[in-house]
Amino acid sequence: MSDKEVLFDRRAILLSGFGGLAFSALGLRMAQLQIFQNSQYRTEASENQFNLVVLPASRGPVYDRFGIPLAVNRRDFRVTIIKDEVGRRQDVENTIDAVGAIIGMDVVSIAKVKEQSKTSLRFVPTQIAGQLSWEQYSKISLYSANFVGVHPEMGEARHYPLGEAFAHVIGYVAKATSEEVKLDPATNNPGIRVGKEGLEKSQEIPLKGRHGATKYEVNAHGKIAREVYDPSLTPVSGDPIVLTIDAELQQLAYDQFAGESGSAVVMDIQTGDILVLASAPAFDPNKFIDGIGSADYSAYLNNEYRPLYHKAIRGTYPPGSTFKTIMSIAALENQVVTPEETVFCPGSYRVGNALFHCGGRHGNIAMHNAIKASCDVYFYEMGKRLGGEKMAETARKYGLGAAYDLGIPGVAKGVIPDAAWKLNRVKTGWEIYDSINMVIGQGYVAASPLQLAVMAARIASFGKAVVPRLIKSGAGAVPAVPFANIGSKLENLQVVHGGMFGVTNEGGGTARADLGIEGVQIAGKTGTSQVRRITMAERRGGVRSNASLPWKFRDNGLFVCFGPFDSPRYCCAVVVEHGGGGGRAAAPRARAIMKATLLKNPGNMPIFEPNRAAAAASTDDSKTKKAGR
Amino acid sequence: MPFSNFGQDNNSLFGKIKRLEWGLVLLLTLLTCYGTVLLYGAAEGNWQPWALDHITRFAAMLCLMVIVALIDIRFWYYVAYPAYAISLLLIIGVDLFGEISMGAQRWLRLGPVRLQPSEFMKITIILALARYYQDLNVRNIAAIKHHIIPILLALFPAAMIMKQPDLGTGTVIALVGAVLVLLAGVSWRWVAAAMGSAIIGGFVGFTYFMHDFQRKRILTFLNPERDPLGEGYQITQSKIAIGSGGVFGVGYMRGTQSQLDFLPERHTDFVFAMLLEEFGMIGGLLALGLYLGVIGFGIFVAISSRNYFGKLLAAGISVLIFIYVSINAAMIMGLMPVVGMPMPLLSYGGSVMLSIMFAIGLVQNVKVHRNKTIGTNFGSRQNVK
Repeated sequence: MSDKEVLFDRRAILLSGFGGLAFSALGLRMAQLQIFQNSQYRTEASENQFNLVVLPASRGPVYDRFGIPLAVNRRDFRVTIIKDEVGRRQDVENTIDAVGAIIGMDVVSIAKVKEQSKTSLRFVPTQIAGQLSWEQYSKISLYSANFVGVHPEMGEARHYPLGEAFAHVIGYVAKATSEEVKLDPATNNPGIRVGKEGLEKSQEIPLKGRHGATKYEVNAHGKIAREVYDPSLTPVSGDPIVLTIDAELQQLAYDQFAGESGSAVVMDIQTGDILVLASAPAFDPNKFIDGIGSADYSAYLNNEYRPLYHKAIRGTYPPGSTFKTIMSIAALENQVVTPEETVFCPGSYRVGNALFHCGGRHGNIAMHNAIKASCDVYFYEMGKRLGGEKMAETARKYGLGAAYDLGIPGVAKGVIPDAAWKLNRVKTGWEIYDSINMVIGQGYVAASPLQLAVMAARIASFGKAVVPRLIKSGAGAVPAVPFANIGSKLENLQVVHGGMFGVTNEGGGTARADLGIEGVQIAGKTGTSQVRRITMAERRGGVRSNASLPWKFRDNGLFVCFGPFDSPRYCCAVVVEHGGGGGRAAAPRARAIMKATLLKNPGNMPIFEPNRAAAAASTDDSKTKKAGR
Repeated sequence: MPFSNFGQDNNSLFGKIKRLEWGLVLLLTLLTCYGTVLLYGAAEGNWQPWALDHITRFAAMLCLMVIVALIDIRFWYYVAYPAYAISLLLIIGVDLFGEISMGAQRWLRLGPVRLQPSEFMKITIILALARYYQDLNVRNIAAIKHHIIPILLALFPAAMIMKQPDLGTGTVIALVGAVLVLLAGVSWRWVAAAMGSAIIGGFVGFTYFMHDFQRKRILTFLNPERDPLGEGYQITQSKIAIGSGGVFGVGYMRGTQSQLDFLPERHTDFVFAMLLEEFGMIGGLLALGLYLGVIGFGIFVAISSRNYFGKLLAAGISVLIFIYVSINAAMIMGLMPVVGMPMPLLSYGGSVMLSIMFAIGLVQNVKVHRNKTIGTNFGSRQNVK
């Protein structure tokens, strides 16, 4: 062999070694990708591969205690468009025009849909129109075969059959805001609404269930290759919720307030069940589901009677003379007075320089009559004897100044003032005037109608710490536990019961009237709380009548009551905003509500048990059928 | 009985056929069958449009390979320079009259036949250099002056092809030329100097001479996220396909990356990525092993040949196949920029298979004629030993 051949062989073997190294490097790279980064790439491959189309879950229905539906899902026919399937922008707009023409949409809404379709996501269906009639739906179903990307869909839409009467308790659902979409991208789907107010908001998670999806395998061009069955993506219907409310009584109570602003609460004192939680006037929750028009909304917003505001739990008012019931208990419990001791009422009460007035000149008066006639001077004296701390202690024991967890948002805490509270809020110390204002439920004291009902329940039950409940079963329900004893003496409560009986049944009572049921009486207490200051000048010239004042300066009328008197079962609190005196504005309404309650006696009727499977399928078709006819 | 019959050459046709390297034929057949299986899967379980074509072409090319192998090695020695000259002319012709396809000017149409002259050049450059070094008989082979002509012979067509622009093929020709010069014995100093200037030249070329798409390709290679939906897409999807395959693969025709079109050109340049997805690392190592066998045979033939022309010819073709395999594998695994480089015998494509089988025919030819002496009859006094 020549030299150059030897050299060649040597170099060939050397280079083969290099080549071997290069192949080893390829093998190592394979190992790196296929062994060490395998799981990462596996995930990426599966992300490449699938596309999820949201399947909305059926929202949980809400029932009253006897199974009357309060919030249900009814069939909703709608037509949507998936931009990705249509293709070009111009085609999308033309398709929307054509679909709009077929179902007879007006120009404004077509333009609105086009605007929406510009920003919506490629794969997510954009709703062209919802709540179609059966005719419109059949028409578009017939024609949709000619339009790529147009999908007639049958989904579910929320419906509130009793509308206004339950508007504040149930609240409403509406389209998700962009913030809500960020939290849960599924809510972008046109078939999905989220809870915005009331129970729908606070119980959103259990009510919405779990939205599912259809899983599609897509190729690199985004075209669907096939549908993949994935049991973990099946939608799960929301939980049904049963309220303690009796829809019939609620509707009756709501109707009592025609043309007035007020609220009513009825409770079963044995169980704490809230049978009525009405606030009037109210709004129509069905208007909010597909987005309320701005004219409707500003009408609600600018209404002086505040229809959007849940007065029964959110509104707090000076309880006025209704507060005297528990102040009587406070006086007796603290032994600052005996039931027989009389106080002389000359029509006013002087403390230092200030003169506090009474509604009448009652002369020598003891507790029973002081409650019955609502004598302020008697209670001014009690307030002076008790002092702020002791009054506050009893008021708290009877359920005021505390918020209750009803499972809906916005339950107010109210105010029971004491020295520490005043120092903190008003920056001055507790004065005797404060005690005198407080004892008649004025000044800083504030309570919601719900709290007044709780107060009445605790009095009526002879001192059981009754706790209100709104959700009977389902999500947010609180287990019923026996109520603790407040620790008030029975004979003291009997004195107060007697006084309240006098209010409604004896001559000289502030709300005397027959209930109209043979052998059944109720006991109650009126309250009239001032919302303005009556000056000395006005008092000299004669206090102006409520009727002559602008609406919002008139007195609030209040009434709390319970019945039947001999074995109390139900209690009721009514507040009429600026309705004038409690005896005239509130008591008749409370009496009508109590009468219906006592006649029906809902506490003794069997409670509705929702069947979960049936609940999921429960839809109210009646409305759609009507529309389709 | 390969390599065991020294000195008993029977130059009858039957003797030559007996001396063909049938182990190499077996390796090629296995690789082609592997490729056919992949192409059948790439068409979702259809013989059309690729698999049947692939295997029938192979059968035809196998005959071509045998013919190339049986022709006297001196014929290839004679035609080395004319063939080189013709390929060079064709490349220049492409430059002047070529057909533009897919953004590059690579094809020359002669009647019904479309020619890709750069494909010929891969082989003719090896023939030309082998002949040059066969003819060269000097004392100090390490001196650079003896290597200037072969370097020019390789660099000129390489530069022309890069200008077409076909960076991949140009690089292959330059690399094959460089390795042959190295094997012929240029001093290591010059090798080091050449590597240094290649790096600098690469930089200069990148900055001043490259086409935008080529520059973009390299930038994208360095950072695939730069262009995730264009050039980077291919690299990213290919890496996802390979990575998700794991050790044992996701299963034949079950590769979601390949079957759902995420993997680009899965029947040609990215066929190996599909193989790695569906058959995993095991399948990949098997393929690499088969290639290693083919290359190993080539080197063994080179070393055992008794004429210098044959040595360089077999070695050059081994280098060519090595470059094909390693560049393609490195590219699909994201180790190199995307260049048009198929995987020999796995990728679908007629002209590549033609040139590969032709080249392997030359390796077989060297094996068959390994004891033949070349050049004594051709008057060059330097060749007389």
